[in-house]
Amino acid sequence: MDHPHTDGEKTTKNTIMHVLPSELLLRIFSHLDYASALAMYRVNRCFQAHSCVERSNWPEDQVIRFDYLYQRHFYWRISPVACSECREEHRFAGPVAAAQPWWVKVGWRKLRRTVRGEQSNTLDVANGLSGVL
Amino acid sequence: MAPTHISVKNVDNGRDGEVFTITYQAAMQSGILKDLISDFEHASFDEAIPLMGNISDHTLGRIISWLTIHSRDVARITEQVKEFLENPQNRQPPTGPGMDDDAVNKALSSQERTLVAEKLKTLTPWDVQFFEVPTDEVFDILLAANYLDIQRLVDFSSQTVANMIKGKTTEQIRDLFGIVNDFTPEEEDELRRTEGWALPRCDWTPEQWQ
Repeated sequence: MDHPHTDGEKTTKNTIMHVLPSELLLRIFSHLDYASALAMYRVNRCFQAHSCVERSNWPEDQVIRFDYLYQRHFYWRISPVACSECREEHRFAGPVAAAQPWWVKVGWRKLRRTVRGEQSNTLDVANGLSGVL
Repeated sequence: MAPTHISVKNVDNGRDGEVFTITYQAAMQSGILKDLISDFEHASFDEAIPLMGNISDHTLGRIISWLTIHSRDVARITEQVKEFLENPQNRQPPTGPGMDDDAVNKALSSQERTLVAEKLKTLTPWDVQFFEVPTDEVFDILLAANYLDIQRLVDFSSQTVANMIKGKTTEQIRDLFGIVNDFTPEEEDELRRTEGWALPRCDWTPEQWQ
């Protein structure tokens, strides 16, 4: 069975992305722990875009770290570019500072401090951020 | 009246695939087959139900064996859980004095549902062996299960692929799936520079993260 975006040719290269549609990739990612999710996040651009994982069983600081990475990816990387691997359109153009709303910058600064242990109530900051995002 | 057995075959690409027969109970685990059977409840089902979805005979055969093995799981596991809950020590929350019968039954049935749902999500040793096949074949099973709307098998297949990923570094995952690293060295540097605080040690193995 072939990925809908391919021409039907099966190769050993990039099998998982060419063969499986996004919803099944997300289903797989939902079973990952923090360390594996981070490893996946850094595999390539396509996986970075798909790394929306189920985090309900993770400790709070891991959830915050991963949410930072994931949301930063989507909110800071503005221009859509077609993914060379799965051919879906993701946002990869790199940080575009001018396009960041002020609250994103302030929010991430707060979040960074939080994860570094400079603030005590991490959940409040995370909740506040999810409210504005 | 519902049939006791039904047959299925793949007819994609204009070919008649091998015919597989399963019990009605086993077929009901597939959303697609369930819908087809209920839509044609007065049909005789003498002929095999044609399936599209480009599933190979080999994969369809494996799926049929999975459906057959797991056809009585809900009943069997519910029975086991009921037996387990007969012991008051296993009941959470405790069902003791001060609770009327309704409250006790409600608490027990809620705990029973939770336990059954949890057990149904757990891969059995048989399943682990079922998935001891090449990665491509796991993907074929996952896609076919998704097409046939067998949610439990989709979940088991996804768990299997996730288990292949767990404990591996980024580089090992690339090797496992033959994925090309498309980040430029500059982008990797930037990732370490700007996101390093969230990725405390980029070169750590998953064990070191724990």
